[in-house]
Amino acid sequence: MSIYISTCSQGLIWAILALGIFITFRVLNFADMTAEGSLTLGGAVCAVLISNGINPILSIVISGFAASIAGLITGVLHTKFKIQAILSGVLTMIALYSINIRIMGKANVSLLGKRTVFSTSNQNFAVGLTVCALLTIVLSLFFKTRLGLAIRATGDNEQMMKAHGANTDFKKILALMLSNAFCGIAGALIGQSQGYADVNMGTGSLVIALASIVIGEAMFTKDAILLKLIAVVFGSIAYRLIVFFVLNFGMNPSDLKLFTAVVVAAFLALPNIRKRIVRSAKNVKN
Amino acid sequence: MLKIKNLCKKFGEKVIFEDFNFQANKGEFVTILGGNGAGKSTLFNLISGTLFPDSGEILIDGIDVSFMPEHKRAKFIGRVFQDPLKGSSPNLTVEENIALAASKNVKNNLRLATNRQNSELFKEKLSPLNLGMENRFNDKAGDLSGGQRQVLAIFMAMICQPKILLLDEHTAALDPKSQEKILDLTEKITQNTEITTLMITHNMTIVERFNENVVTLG
Repeated sequence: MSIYISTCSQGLIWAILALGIFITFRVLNFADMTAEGSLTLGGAVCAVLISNGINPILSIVISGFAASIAGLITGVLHTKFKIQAILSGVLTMIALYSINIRIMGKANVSLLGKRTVFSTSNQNFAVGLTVCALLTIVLSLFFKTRLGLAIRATGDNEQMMKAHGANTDFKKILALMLSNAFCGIAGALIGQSQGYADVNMGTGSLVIALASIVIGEAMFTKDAILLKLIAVVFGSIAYRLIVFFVLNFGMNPSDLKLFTAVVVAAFLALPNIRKRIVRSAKNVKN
Repeated sequence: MLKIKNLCKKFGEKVIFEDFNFQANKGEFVTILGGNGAGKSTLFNLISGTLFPDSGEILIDGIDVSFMPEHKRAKFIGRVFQDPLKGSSPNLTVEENIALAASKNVKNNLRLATNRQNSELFKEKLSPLNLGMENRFNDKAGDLSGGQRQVLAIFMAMICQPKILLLDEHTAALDPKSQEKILDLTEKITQNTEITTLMITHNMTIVERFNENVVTLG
């Protein structure tokens, strides 16, 4: 039983990353590659702060702010200097690799014997659930404010937002900062739960977050923003359970990234394949 | 009031406007005609700020907006496009779309966008227009028909009482029945207001219907 609980708590912690990616990928319609760097940045900043005796909760908050700066840089590159979305993110992500090593002073920082949010409560599940629930509620409320609505509409129909007097560049930058703050918080929690921060901890994390989003969307198809966010959280937990089962089934752990990529591609392709089948069925009838 | 003075605009070698002058008074309804490439849409883009003139001045109520960024002058201008999909955000509800348009000049951004009081206010404004839109407040805008989405776009363009309303062939993409509905609505909302309306059209029956003031470009 406890193995299931620890799998679910992993899902909850990684759900914070998935929520962050949801902001860019689904709300803003922006494929933000910065995320992999910000996750590591969050982990690195948090690990360094904790090993210097800073309170672990405060360290998480600071990690979120640090990562939001990464989002700011990507946003400025994209909106002010008109660099393509994907390239802006890749540039920031690559730059962060060096910055993260500078922050940690080496390739990884161990938290062995340090006080973390998990050692004080000794309850991974409770911590994961609390942080996740809190962030989900705050985010869903934010998306119902004027600013949040304006960000959603910017992703949906930028031209209309401009015609209605919105500074869409500002909205995009803000959404990227928010998204990356979530990635940083996720990185801080992941680092604390695994007991170290490593310069490569973000590699492949974006695809995991995307997998959580698409699995969640396949499970729930409601339109309300709160339900969409909850779907992402459940998608993240489901992803962890699926991974747990396929590994138990004897899959080579090094094949996991291939497996995840195939899952994401399949779920993204599914609606289009379904449309094609419907269309060809109609053709046959005619 | 809209005043355009000595406007010049070139695209490469092609001269679209050379010393173009134009004036429309408060409450005036002007129909703009002209073939493809005559500069009708360019004129709207220059007025709303998606394009900037090479030289000349554009004044709205005496304020020079020639080089003001689009989002800053948007408070003076409501614009409805030919494509009904361009006027609203498909993943937001009808009410959220209207609330967004209504909060265009409001500063406090962290308040909830929709509330019961505003909702009643919107419905009050909508119901005399007899469009049935008030029953679809909680539907996603993406679920509306093309005609209904254009109704929503017009309502959104008007809700902040702009000084200038730009209608860019706003019925061209609709079926005849929806066209009729949109033209009725256009008449209703532009009569007895202080809003200066500029409408682009290719359709001569529409020109005759609004035959107050016709400007031909090209």
